[in-house]
Amino acid sequence: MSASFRDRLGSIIMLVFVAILWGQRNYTTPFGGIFPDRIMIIMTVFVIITMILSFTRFRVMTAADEKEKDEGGKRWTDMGVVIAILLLWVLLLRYAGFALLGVAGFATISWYISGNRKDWRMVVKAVALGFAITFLIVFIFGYLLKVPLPQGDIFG
Amino acid sequence: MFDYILLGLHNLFTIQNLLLVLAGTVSGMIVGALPGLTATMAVALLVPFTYTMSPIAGLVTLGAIYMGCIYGGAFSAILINTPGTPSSIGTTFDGYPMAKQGRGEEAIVAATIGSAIGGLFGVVCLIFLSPPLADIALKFGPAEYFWVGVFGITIISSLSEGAFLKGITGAAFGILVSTIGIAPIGGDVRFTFGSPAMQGGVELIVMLIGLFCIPELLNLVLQGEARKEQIEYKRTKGVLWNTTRRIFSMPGNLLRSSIIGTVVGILPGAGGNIANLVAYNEAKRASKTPEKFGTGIIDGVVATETANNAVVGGGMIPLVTLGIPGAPPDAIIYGVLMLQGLRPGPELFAERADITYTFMLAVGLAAIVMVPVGLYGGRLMSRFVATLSTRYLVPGIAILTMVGSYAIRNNYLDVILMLLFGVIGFGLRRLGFAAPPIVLGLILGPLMETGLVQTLLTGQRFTSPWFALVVNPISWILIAMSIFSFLWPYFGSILKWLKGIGHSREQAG
Amino acid sequence: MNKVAIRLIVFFALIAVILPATVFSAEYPTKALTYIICFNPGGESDITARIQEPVLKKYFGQDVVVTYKIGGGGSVGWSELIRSKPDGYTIAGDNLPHIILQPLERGKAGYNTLDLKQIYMFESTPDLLVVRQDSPYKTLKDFIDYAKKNPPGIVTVGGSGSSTANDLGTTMLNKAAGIKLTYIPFGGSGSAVPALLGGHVTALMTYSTMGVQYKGKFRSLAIASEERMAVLADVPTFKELGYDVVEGAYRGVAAPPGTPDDIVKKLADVFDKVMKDPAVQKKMDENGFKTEYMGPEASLKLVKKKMVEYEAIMKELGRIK
Repeated sequence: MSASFRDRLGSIIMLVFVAILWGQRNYTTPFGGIFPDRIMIIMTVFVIITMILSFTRFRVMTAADEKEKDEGGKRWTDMGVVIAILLLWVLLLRYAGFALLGVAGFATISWYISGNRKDWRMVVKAVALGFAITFLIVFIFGYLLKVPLPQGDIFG
Repeated sequence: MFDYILLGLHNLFTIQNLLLVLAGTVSGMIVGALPGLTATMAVALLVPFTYTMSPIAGLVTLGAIYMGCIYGGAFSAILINTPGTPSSIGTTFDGYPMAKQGRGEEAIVAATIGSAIGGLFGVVCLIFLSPPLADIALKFGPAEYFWVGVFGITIISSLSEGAFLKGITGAAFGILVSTIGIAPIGGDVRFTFGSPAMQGGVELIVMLIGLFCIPELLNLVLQGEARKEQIEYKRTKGVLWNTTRRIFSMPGNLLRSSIIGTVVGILPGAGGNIANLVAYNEAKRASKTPEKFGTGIIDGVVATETANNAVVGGGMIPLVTLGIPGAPPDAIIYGVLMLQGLRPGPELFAERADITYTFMLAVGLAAIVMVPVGLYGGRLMSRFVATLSTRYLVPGIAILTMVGSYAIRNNYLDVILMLLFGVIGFGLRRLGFAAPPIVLGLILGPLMETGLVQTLLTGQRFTSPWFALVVNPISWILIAMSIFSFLWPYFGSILKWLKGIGHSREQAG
Repeated sequence: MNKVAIRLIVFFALIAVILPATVFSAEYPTKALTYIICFNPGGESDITARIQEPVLKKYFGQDVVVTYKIGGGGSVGWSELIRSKPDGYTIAGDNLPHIILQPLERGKAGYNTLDLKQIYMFESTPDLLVVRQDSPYKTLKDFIDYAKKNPPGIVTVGGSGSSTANDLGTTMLNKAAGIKLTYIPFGGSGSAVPALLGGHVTALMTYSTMGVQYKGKFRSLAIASEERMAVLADVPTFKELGYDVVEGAYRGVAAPPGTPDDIVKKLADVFDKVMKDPAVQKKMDENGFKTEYMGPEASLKLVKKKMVEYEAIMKELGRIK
């Protein structure tokens, strides 16, 4: 991705965001809109400026550009899978509860990114650690501190 | 007054109270280090335990927890780029780069010393300067709060170094997200996409974890085992001594950040969350090497941590003098005070001096206790996290994000939002929109809106209500500060431009 | 990892999975009560809950866990409540007029007034008009005269939130006295106080609790109750002074719709005992609360009565169509 492409894509995404919000405007009192409307207008102006500048020589991104190059990282499929696992995790949280998903989620992610997935010892390690960590958290937060943890519909 | 201080010391130095300070500080540190658990929550959770204690013991414990918590936030900020509490957002700017360079220990030492000094400063102001400082706080009305918010936003111009447009767009994005839900004035239901669940808006912590933690987690996955080569944990000797010497050789930074923290803490509702960012900005400005900020310079960590711990003491000033909490944890402490029949005001300092001074000194003691605990435990932790393999670090962080984002409001939707903003944040970062301006917008949005609308309401007596924004002298000072802060990064270029004009005039005439 | 460690881990793991599932059905209550507070810590609802909490534990028989679900002036907490399990282990503090005015004014507030199953109404705080101790208005008459003489917008009155008793009280005073006070909503009673102390608003329409708490700094001009309150004995009522303004907030607890009546009755009994406990009474009086003792039926009657009243008032005042 070149810098100007980034600028343009970013600008478009921001414009879409503002457009969505603008469409959702539904103020019932005189106060509700004073602030958001103005911010949306200001934001649109800046985004358009960015867009225009992206067609000239001005580079809007500088230091952040360099940082990305350093961080690198190529394992896009891994990342995709992890995102999918996380997504399942949060969506099922309401139903399966924290304890169960904590173990499952931890174990799955740990096993998946470990690099040696074929090794059954890895699976055992992942699951065992998952149990241990989840138990620790349930104990410290759920019992000691009484912080409510997601119970999950199954467990009531 | 010194009799009272002696009395307070005498009460404080009992075995029970000392143990409570230690226990409170340590618990606070642990809770603070966990992303998603805030100082407010920590204090709120422990209030019931204090019912069975004497008033002094209860307040001492809560005060110690509060101080420890704010300090604890630095740990996760430095080690996993996620502020443990919102008041440590700025610590990620330099703390995390330091950790990536293998200098995590140095960062933690810096955070510890800074927090201790800032904490002590805040408490000293609390003990000696409460009445005059509280009066200053009262002079801030709705218009002033609006300009404080604007001033906070101008910090972006220096945080973004060149990517200013994207920074301000990010901030606007954050502000708009903060408007989701019920309007602070008027009660409009805004931008909820028809879902009643969105009425509560987007909680700051949820976005914080999402925008800071998840992209980092995804980056770790992206790098895989390549990360191991990056972090070579350097076991250097004498880190503690050298770092401490370095910090004390910059008293200006310490003093300035402490003052900023205390002053911001005094303003009720301004939120100590912005103190660390303002202090960071000022440290950068005063530094001889501003370009190093963001790459892992100690001054950055010292500035943020000193300021946020000074907020603890500062926030208590309006609390004990006027009964107005300076920061959310103070509101809880206020409730406890009321329960014990302790009315804020002059009587708290005179008739109930035994409780009040003991409490204030306990908070100060907590700041000192943090040092040995943090230096020992913190360095162990930093070594642990740095050498921990990705395959355990990633799921470990993931599970913590689940806990943190759920715990704040016991809301499943929050956890989903956290992940959603996390993935969006990852994408935005790749496009050049960094997290700090967005979060800044989220924090300052409500502050600015409330101030603006309230001012417009009071301004109805003028021909244009907007005029009320520029009526007060304090407003003018804040406006001037905002303009200054906004233009600062460009001063160099502006000066050159002006000189250029001068030259061409000379040549022409 | 050696065998012992693995065994240990498996052992803990089993416990971790079994624990959440162990709820034997026994006599109510068998587990902790979650008491949701829908407003900021340090506010009236919070303080009341904190006063009740230790005694509540005693009479309820199990632990009481106070949690906060703040936002929307309470609507976030109440929307959550109506979707919680109606098993008697989750209750929330609720407030009049909020639970009536919010659905009325907002259309979709996330809950309907009658969805909240009333358990008990335990306190009320009448509206109180205060100015600073050093302000030129010594009586309500001074204040109203000043408001009449000046164009609208000069006299500003702060209060807690929109669609609250403070808001409504100000509107009612406007109508009763023929003046135009500008109401400035603040985030909570606490946030409005520095505004008055700093001179940014002329007066506050706040609750009786604030008048008690800031006795030295505020001058209370009038109170919006039927009779004078003992703890604010020298403050005249609006009625005595000729203005028919009676308004204030009622606070109580409510349960999700569908909670069995007998469990509601048990909870009501518990709260009744709590509010009649002398220690609780003393603290409530000291802080400026007026204790009420309304059980489920009485509370529901009050809510229904107020619903009719408020709808009429709101239409009259032009705040809804």
